Amino acid sequence: MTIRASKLWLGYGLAMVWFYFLLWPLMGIKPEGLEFQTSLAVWGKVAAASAVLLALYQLKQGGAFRFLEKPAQAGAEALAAVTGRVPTWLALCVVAGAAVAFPFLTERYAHDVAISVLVYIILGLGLNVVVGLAGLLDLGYIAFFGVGAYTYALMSVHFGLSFWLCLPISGCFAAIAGCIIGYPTLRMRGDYLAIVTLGFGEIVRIVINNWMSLTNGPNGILGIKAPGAYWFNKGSFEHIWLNNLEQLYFVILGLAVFTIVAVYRLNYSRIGRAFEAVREDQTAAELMGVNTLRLKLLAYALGAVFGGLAGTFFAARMKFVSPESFTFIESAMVLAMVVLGGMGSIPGVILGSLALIALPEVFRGFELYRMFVFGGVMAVMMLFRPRGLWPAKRMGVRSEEKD
Amino acid sequence: MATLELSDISVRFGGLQALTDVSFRVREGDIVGLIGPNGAGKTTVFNVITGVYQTSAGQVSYDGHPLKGMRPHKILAMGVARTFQNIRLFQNMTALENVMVAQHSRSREGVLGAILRTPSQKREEARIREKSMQALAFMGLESYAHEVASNMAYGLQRRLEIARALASEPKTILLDEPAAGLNPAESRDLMHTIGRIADLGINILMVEHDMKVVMGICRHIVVLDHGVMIAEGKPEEIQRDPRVIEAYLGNEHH
Repeated sequence: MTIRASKLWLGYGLAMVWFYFLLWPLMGIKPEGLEFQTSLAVWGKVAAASAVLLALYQLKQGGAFRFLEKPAQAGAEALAAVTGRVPTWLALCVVAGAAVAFPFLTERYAHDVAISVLVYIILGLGLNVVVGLAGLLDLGYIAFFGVGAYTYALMSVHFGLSFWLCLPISGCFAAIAGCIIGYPTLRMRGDYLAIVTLGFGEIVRIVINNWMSLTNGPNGILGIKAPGAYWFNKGSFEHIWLNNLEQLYFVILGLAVFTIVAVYRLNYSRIGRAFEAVREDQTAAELMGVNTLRLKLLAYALGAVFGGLAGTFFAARMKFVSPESFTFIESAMVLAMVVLGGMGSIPGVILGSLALIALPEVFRGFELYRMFVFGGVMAVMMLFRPRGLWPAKRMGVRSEEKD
Repeated sequence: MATLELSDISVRFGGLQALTDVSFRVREGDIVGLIGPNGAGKTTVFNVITGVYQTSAGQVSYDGHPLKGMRPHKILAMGVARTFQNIRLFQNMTALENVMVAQHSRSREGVLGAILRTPSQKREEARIREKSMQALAFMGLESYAHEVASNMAYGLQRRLEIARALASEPKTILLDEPAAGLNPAESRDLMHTIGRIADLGINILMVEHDMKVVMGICRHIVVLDHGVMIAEGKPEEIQRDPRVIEAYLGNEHH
């Protein structure tokens, strides 16, 4: 016990020394010279707080809180018993109800955040098909988002085509782009694939950026139409533009629900199983009758379709597209959502998108430290929950599900 | 009519001659054993038949169709399934899912069917499940259907590999050291199982080191050494063949 405790404190000491070496260059090196006070002050606070936490942890390990644990555990068990009895459909109904009621209960700003979250959920689920199911690391996924957005932007501005008509068109264009990118990479695995997709992602962005005559380059495209709809009004149907955020929220909610259902069903189908077989062991999959080259191409194309749908909506919502929305960092964010949430897990990806888009909005005050915290959280997550927030379910549930 | 025929197969990897002029046949209803010391090229023969490697010379034909240049999934669709020497299950998938993958080439519903859950897709899914459960039941694994493959005991994983191969509805099955790592009781069980597979009318070609298993069930044996076929015949003949004894035990008159 004492040996363990001293080891723990030694580890703590080392961690604090490491943390100071990380902190001091950030806070203490200034043009006027080196300074220690501010960094020491911050470091002292962090060290004290973590020392208290560590002490509490040790007390807990020693059994000092046993009197609290028992009732807490009983409470947790009671709660689990209650939630365990709630059927899935009821839980889904509650979530659906909350999603529908959301815009009526919240402010404009919240609508804006919710729309971003939903866009990223679609992107995350699309990338999840490629990365989570088929196991192909794609670092240029945002390119398909861009293809979708530009397809709708150009169709809308030049031909005046409607949003709803352009949704499938953008999906097709993105799928074609997916095949073009996928085809040369079919025989690559792992690291090589990642680097090539990274390159392709950048190629798409740079082409958009430089093809002045078509895309208007870095200036972007203005004047994209919002989605239209027919609405029953005073005894007749009239055409309206879904311009305000509440209406757009419902459009993207519908798209997200479609994506969730589609990905879920794919997941549990012959195609989904083949994707997973390719991920698990490509050679064995091929020898068990899966046309791995075709399936990999299909994974790229399917992932791209969802990216394209999200892109179409994005263009319609912003009414403006420019290449800077499709940089590598966006691809990395979407990938982070998938990994953070749990590869191959639909609720995981949804949770990941919420965590990475909504939480930074909640903690706007710390915006300066956003990337810093982001990196830290990712590192901690990968250490303690390497399979994600909500890992993909296995244990029999998958093929057991009935319909 | 499902005859697998290898005629004058040679395989070269750079400067290494892995197989030289190997010819033999697996006829309808046959159980053929492929034996030889380590590195004799037995697994290479399997890889050639299933399309993983291309031959440098000679050809493999199945039912009279040449398999040259065919991708492995096509060869499986023609009815040649295999297992692996070092188990290659889809580790993170359940036993049932593993087996269901093998039905891929026997089913056709695509993406739209899956997303819309059309009646024909549902029917097909049900059929895949049923066939897969049958394959699991045949190998005595139905109670493990929802177990994740990597959590299963070694012996069960071996059986699951055979179940997966059977689920592809093969006419010929290639077993690569199916008894490796099994205890004597499991080996006996396996021999019994192989007999039952043959009773289904499936031809068997197997690589195996356990001579008790090979001599016990194979009706025909092919012996390889350094990529060359040194003998072929009935088990009793092979056991007496001086060249085979030499290959296994070394020449006493060095």
